[in-house]
Amino acid sequence: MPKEYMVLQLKLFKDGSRPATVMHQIAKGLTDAQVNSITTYYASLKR
Amino acid sequence: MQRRSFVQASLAFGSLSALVGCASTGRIPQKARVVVVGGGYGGATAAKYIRMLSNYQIDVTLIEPNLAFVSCPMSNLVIGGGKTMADITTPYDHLSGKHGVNVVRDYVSGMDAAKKTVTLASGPSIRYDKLVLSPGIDLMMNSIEGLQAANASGQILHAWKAGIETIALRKQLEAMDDGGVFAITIPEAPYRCPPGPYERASQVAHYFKHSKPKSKVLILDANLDVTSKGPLFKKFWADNYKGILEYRSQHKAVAVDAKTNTVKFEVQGDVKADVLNVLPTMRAGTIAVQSGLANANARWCGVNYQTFESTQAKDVHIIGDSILLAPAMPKSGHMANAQGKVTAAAIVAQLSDMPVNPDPLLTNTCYSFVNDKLVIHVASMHQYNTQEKTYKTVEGSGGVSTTANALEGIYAWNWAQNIWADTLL
Repeated sequence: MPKEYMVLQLKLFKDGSRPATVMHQIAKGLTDAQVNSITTYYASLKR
Repeated sequence: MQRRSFVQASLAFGSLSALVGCASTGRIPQKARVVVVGGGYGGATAAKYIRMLSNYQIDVTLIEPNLAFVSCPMSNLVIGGGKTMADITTPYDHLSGKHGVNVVRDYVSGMDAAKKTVTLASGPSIRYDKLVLSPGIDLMMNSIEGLQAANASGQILHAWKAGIETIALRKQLEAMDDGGVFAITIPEAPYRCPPGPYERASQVAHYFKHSKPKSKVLILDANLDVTSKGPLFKKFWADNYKGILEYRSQHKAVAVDAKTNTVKFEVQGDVKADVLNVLPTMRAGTIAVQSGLANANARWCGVNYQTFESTQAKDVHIIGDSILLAPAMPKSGHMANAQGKVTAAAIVAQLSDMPVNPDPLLTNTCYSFVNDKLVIHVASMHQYNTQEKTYKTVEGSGGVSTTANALEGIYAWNWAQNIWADTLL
């Protein structure tokens, strides 16, 4: 999954513009640096 | 994690696994770089991730007495009748076959932190460089007079370790006549899985409502109030289980009488029930207590929260329900899984002379089924604070469901599939 897509989705969860049951509560606990680490890791994985 | 080494390891161990067939019990080595005790959410995750994060360079032996992993999360659905034991059981074969963890089916009867050895119930000892203890909980049967014998005879169950008691409790409920009473007693916090008893009571109430409508559920709680998701549980009970489920706080069980199936309390009057489910006080798993590692009230194990190394013994890391909790941290499977990963990363770093992650982050999500389809959750984020050397919940994060809902019923089951895969596959 492209990194930019994941960064955007986490941002949308964080500011509430993407509806969620739990992810908005999780995303609000992440700093920008942590979002960067997580998305870099997942983007490095091949399917 | 590099994909190529992962694939190579998968192929290598995959063919080995094919040769040994379904025999997942490994050989007993004299020495292992890392020994993991307990193959639950904490230990199995740590074992798998030490292999993965070291690019399969660090050898790991996992000691686990059970043939397969049976999940405590979702086991209340077996008690409610909506799922079977097969639905909540996962074999250990992938840890051995795919990840090269040496899974030894045995029980650790002793350890020596100075000599860095563990001793198996079958006799042999194994030396280690790093030990991970994830022994779960010990149910303190003696905290409730008469419980030891009543439990041993199969009459009064806890079913707080998913397995044979889960099935036995379901059978007791099926055998109970309509018009009977199911009573569950809850010990003072902290105990394993804070919302678990309330979810179980909800599952039994759902079963009664549809199959035995004259029957009653009684929750007898030693605590002042529902300890987790209180407003959500109480609203659902009021709206859906009125006249079926009754909640009573400040009921601390002190004794059971097996002859009359009665519970006695510290203050309140006796309660008689047709099916009694008694949860005694809990503490760290036996191996941790008997090895002197439970240095907090002789119940829980103090750890350095950055690496989960014991405050009592060097190179012994303790994770999961056995540890002394940081503020607002629950004893949950999700939490144990997260602690397993932080610990795996720390151990791989230490054995590779690399710096450990200075500020790990733990997440927790816990779903509770209030009937067969509707779910409520609680979530939290726990950030290690380097100044205060503990975890603190991140301000503004976490929370609960707005109301019980069916979408989270789907997500909850998906959560289970995903965490079982992350821990074991």
